[in-house]
Amino acid sequence: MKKILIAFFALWMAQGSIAQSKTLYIDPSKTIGAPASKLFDDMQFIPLQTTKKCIFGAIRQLVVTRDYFIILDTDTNAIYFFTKTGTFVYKYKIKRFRIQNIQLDHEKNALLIFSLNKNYNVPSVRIQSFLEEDSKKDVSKYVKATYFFLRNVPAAKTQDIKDFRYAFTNPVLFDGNKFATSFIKAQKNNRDTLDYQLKIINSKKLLQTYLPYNKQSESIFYFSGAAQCTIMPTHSDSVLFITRPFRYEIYTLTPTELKENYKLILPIDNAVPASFFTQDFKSRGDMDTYKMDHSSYASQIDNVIQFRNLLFFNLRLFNGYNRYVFDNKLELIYDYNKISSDSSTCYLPLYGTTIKGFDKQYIYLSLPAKSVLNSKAGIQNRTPQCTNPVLNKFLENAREADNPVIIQLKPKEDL
Amino acid sequence: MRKLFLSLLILLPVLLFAQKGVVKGIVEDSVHRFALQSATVTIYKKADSALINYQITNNQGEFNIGDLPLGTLLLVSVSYTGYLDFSRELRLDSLKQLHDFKKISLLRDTAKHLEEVIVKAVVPVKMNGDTLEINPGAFKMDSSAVVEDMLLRVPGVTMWSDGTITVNGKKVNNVYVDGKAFFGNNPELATQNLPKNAIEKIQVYKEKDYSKQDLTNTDLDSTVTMNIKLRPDKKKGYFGKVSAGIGSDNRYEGDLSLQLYDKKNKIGIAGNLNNTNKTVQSVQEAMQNNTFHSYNRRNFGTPNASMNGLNTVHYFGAYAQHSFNETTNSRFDNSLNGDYSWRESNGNITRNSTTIQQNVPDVDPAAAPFKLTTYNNQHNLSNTLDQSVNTGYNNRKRATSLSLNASYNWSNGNTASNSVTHAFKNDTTAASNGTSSTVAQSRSNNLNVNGYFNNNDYDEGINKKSFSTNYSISYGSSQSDSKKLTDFESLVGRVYEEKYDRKYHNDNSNFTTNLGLSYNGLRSLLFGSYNFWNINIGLRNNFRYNKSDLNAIVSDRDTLTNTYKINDTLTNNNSVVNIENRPGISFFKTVSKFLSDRYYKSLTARVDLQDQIVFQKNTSTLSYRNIERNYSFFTPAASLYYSYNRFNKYNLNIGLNQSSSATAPTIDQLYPIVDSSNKYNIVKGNPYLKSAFGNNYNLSANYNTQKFNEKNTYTASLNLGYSNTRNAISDSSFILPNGGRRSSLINVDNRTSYNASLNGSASYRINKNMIQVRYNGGYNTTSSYQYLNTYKTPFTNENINNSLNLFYSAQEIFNITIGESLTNTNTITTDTVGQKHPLKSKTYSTRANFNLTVPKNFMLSSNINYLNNISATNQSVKATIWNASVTYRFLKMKTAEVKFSVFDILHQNKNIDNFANNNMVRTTISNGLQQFYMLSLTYYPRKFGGKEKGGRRNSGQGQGGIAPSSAPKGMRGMGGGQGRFRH
Repeated sequence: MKKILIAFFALWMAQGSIAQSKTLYIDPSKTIGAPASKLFDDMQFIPLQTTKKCIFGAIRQLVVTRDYFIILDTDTNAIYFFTKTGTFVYKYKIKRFRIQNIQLDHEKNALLIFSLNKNYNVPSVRIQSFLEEDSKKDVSKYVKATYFFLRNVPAAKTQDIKDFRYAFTNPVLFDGNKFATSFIKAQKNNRDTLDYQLKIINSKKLLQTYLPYNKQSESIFYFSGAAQCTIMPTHSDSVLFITRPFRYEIYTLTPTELKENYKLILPIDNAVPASFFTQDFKSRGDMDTYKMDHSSYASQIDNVIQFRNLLFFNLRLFNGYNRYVFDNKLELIYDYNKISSDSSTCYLPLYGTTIKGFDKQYIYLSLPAKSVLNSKAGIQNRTPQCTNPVLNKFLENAREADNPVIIQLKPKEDL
Repeated sequence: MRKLFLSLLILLPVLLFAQKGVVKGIVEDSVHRFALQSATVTIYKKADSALINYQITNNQGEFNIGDLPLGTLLLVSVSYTGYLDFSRELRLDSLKQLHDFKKISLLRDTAKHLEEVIVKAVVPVKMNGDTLEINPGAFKMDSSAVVEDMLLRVPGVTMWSDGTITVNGKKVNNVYVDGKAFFGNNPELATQNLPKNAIEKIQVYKEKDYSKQDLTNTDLDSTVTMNIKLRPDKKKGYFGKVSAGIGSDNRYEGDLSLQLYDKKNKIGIAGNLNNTNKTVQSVQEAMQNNTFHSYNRRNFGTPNASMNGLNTVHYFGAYAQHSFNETTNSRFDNSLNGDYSWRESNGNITRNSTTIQQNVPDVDPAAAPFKLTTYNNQHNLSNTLDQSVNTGYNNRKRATSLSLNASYNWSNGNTASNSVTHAFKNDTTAASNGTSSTVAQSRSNNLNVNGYFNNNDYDEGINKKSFSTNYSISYGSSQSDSKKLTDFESLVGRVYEEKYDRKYHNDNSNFTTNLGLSYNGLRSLLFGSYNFWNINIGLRNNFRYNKSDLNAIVSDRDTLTNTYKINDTLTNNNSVVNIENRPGISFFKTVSKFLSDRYYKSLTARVDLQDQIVFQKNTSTLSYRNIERNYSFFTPAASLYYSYNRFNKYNLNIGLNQSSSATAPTIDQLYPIVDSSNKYNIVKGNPYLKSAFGNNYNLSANYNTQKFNEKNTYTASLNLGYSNTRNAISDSSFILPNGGRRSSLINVDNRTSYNASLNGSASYRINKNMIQVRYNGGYNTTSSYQYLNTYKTPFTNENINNSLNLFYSAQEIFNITIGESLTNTNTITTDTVGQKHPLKSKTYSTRANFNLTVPKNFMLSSNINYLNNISATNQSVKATIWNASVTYRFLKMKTAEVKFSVFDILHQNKNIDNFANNNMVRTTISNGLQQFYMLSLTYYPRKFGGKEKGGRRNSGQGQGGIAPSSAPKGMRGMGGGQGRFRH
């Protein structure tokens, strides 16, 4: 059944790709908004239980399974497991390691966790040398890839993938036991020139490569953390969304190909010019200066989520962040920041929130308890009055220091 | 009088409260019905378009504006980028105090000119990313208003009465104009000169302070910067002041200043002539004294009532700065600057001092101890000409900075002083008389070259390339000739008279070089990627070489031959070399905990292991002064620093630190050349003196509120210190019944000092009124002992200060400051039988200062200082120093001014100073400026930008707009929120 679904999804994606990729024109200064009820059908307010043991900062990553909300919080460096009604179940930390990334492995019914040893600051040049095909260095003391099995969460049964060097790059599970990964770093004194922005690997070796770049001369990639491809999961394990640094295309990666699906055209004020790619950046300071002087240029697209006819995505600028929703049916682009909360979302202050996670039916947002409580008067004094009992109870009983809450939204079926 | 002022201050705010109205509603898009967040709703007074209040709509498009006057016709305006404006007139009254617009639907502006992105909203304050932006266009003010006038009205900005600026509780550390310092580092040059209408916007942001040597990569590295962005057409201009005043008692004042600027250059000249005790030390100070601001809360450039003596200053200075780039980013600087100063000053000071030495045991053990009271009258005339040239080159990129500076100064001085001393034993018995007169001439030349280079390699945290260096070389030479006549007459014990007529000729030269190196990458170098439990390791070394040469020729007049003969005891050639090296290694670690939207806390621990190696060599023609010594001291230091930031609520910092330092005795403490011409104080050395070693402990805590757009701000700080010096240098003195003193320096086991200070301030904004309260309290005490006439005499010196200041301002119309302070200076000696003998003196001071700018263009200013000094002998000296002035500004843009001022209306000015040390207390009363009247005329030449084309019409609202740019990256959190850096 699962395979049929994957085939169906791939076919749907391929349908889009048979036709040419869709071009979207976005002028960030002239986008429109909409009331939340136009896009969403149903809202659930899910507070996450706060106890002395379970108090965390913000939801860095949210993985939604059938039974759990699994939250990565980098403030406290821990993973928190909650039931779908927000009851705290379990807190998991890895001694001496800082958790970087979590993702769900459906096949294994496990959470895959990548973490780095707190006691080492491994510079990116060194990571690059570890990733060389011929590198023999044992990296297990620096980085860890751990499966946390979800069948019995409190039992905390785990298993490490031994010496998985690509764990440095937070690779994304793809098509069963493969991973898609990106690690881009250029250096003048690299021993060879050719490298690829996107690689498909398994736990042992390199399987496929896409998007070549010159790792000796592309100075825009000289610096640590300069830029990587963003790899985003979809509803299917065999399909991923890919975006590239300083480029405005959204690709889909399937086991057979990498295909451009959408192309964003931005105004001159927002798009990096061709000269950017040939500019000779000599230091990180040079690059920072360029970014400061051109703060309205867009650097990358991320957080791409396809939901029936809605495509959610973010446009990251050199200084700032824009969020959009593209309605494929009406060919309309909404500025996500101008989706105003109304009675359908109980007037919750959703402005500026990002989508933390999604499943087949819902998208999930998060708000700090303080923001919800600050809006108490605005929620309670509006007509029609908010009838959500969980929210009303929260407004009466919660404290500002409580854990953030989850907002579950159901995008409209007929879109 | 004091009570009257306080009552006035308490009553004023009562007048400010009255019934007010409210307007509310929701702003939305007329077609798609979504709420418009951050739309600007502004309320004007219809009659004169004066801004009354404004608000930015919240996330739901809601606004709710209070504090609106009743019975006044109002204009409510709603604007939002890309939409047509909405406006409506309404009047609120006592029957209808609330107007609810329900929904205001804005229509999209579909006209073609929208393509040009016309921004209509005039938002007074908004957040642009992490940058707070203040838009001058939103503040309707008089066309002559300067930036400071506007800042007084901006919510969240507090202009403290001492000149400090805080924004949402955070202290502003740097004020720049277009990313660069504006005629030096004093923010008032910009805020009190630049007209509000020349400003496009003011940005306030937090940035990383790369000038810090040890970056912790936490919030502790941050500094708050205010950047004033000039409008594109105002990027060049000039401003200045020409002023002349003539007064009674032959008093005069003249000021001249002119500053010119464009995108790359700043040139300024400033001059001052006065005989009214105005101090001018540098060109920056001269420019600061001559700003355009209509009144000056800190009384810059007014006659200094507390200055000792009568002083005349003639000053001229020039300043120039050239930037090699036009960047407006404050993280980048590539500039050359220079200044020149010429300063001639004449001083005429008369000091009367009374010194009481308590309970001195008599040299004769059989006799009773006695109290010694010494009255000294001194008169000093001086004339000095100083000149200096300073140049500097600064090149700063984001993480590297280079600075090269050179300065040369030369001066000539003449002084003549006479002093008469009478000493009394037990108040009644005349013990001795002394007179002394000195005439001296001196010349000096000094050259100093210094610089630094810092590199914070920030690419991937602190790593191998992070280092800083600093160096300085200075050479100075001076010559002086003086002639000293002394006469000492002993009236008790051995009765005798001793006279000296002595000439001194000194040739000095001094060479010092200093080289400091600091390397922060040792951890990366030693351990590679292993972070050593996150402990940073720094290596530092400071090397200092100093050589001083002296050629002293001293001759005494031979009364028989009436010729001057060389004094072989005092005449000498001396050369002293001091070499000091301070190698050290430091370890520091920061542990931080962060919970998004709630708090950020961190604890930094630091240990410095440091050695101090000293080599001294003295070569002299006086054989007993030829010595060579080596010292080595281990001087460790440690500190703990805790910081807690509750987001949008408050900030608390607590620091605890320990440091140690050693001071090797100098040649003049070991083997001084004893000049016995001053019988009241003859100091002998001690070749067995050991080095003093001090340990200091300090606890500091400070608290301040940090709330976005909050009207009230509170700060409090506490400082506690303890220090203990082993082998402290004290003296063993013989105090003769005639008042003469002969001391030998000795080491004592320890000297202990405690100090404590508590400061608190609060600022309240009520509508357009501001009230500030500040309290400062301080306590210092030092305990040790000395030997007096061979008896061990413990003593304690205390100094206690308390001051309370109240400041009230009704915008620029009226402001008043009232302050009360009490200073206690005490010394307590313990006699040979353990009885304590306190000597106490105290000074009360009550100050009031007000400025009233009504009627328009007039300003009445006055300040009063009431002093009451009660000396150790319980004698009270009182003085009330009252000054007043009336000023009228006229011509277009108020560029001309006539001022009539009266100084010291009551004719009581004098200066009183108390000083306590060891077993004595001294009260000194000096002459000061006496009553005079003055009439002065001032013209302020000013021009900003090219010729305005009707621009003046826009002087109020509607200017500026919102330029969609933002501050440099890497700065976060002026909103009172999460202030962590990301790189």
